[in-house]
Amino acid sequence: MTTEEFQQQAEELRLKLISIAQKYLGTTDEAEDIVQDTMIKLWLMRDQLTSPITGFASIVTRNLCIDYLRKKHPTVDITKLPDEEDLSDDGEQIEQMLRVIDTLPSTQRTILRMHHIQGMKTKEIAIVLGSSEVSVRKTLSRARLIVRKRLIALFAAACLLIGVSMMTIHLMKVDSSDECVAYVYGKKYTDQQTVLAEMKRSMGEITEDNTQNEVEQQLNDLFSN
Amino acid sequence: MKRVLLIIVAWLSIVVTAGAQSGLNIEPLFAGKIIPQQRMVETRVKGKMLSKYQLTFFRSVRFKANNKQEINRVHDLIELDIKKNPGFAYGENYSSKKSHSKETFMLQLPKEGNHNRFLCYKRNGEEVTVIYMEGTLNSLDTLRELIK
Repeated sequence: MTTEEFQQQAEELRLKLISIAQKYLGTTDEAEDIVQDTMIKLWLMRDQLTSPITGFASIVTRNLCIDYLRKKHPTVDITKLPDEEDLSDDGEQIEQMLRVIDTLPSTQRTILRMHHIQGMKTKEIAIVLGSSEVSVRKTLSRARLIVRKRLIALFAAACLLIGVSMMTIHLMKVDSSDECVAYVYGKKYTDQQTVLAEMKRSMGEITEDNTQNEVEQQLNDLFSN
Repeated sequence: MKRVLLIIVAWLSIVVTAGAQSGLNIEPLFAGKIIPQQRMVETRVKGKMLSKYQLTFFRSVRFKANNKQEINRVHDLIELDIKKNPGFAYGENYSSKKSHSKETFMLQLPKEGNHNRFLCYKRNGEEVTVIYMEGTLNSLDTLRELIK
């Protein structure tokens, strides 16, 4: 295609491409920018193009719109960011959720990712997939339900595992653990002989019959007063 | 989720590791919160080596009190445990009424499962001994016989 031929078609083409871009991006400046990018791409490869280029230009515009929507991320006010601990916790939750999403059937997975990760609206997803908005919403709802159920199941399994582990440890401890330790003025002794000697001494203190000593003590008390 | 799991683990740990004598007012003494460990003799025995005494768990602390406050604090805690379990106290306070230099409490606590539980306290002047025991032992008289 010659430069003149391209210039002749460009203005008419531009209006058509803007209407395509606006289907994806709404009546925004971004739609205009996307069309501008399309025109530049077409201009750079005009030598390889042959008339009519309307179909090819439409595909290029549509692809650029999709790329743009994929890259678009909502901005977050940095002062409203949670602290580091919360962030790491959220990050872990998101990772866990992504792992669950990966187990979904491909349609549900794609729609869920497009909606929640790429931030696309159901209407946009319907256009990209060539489906109806109602169908996208239904699939999205089903996908969310499955993710929720699987996350709850994972959580319950983790709790059960921890509970069983702790009980097992406890039972093992109760059944098999023999403890034999003495702290004599801060110094630790674990040899059975020393510990049992200390134990007997304490037992002796309690059980010894000190009638004689008590009489002596009382006499001492009397005379010391 | 991580936080919730940590809370569950912490709660289970507390439940699992709770000491046998926990729930008693005298528990802080065993935990070293009243008399520092450097000043007392603490013994903890559990398992087969106690079968000779018909016991499964034995824990004792022995220390020399530095002042009257320490004696009073331990005494008051023991008194609270006796008041908490009035039907189980069968020991007599046989301290010299004049000097209060000696006192002994022997308290049988409510059973836990099949195990009898005992809390013993003896003060001889500044020397204080507190024992907590668990086992099939029926009475401290039996223990006295077994020690001989």
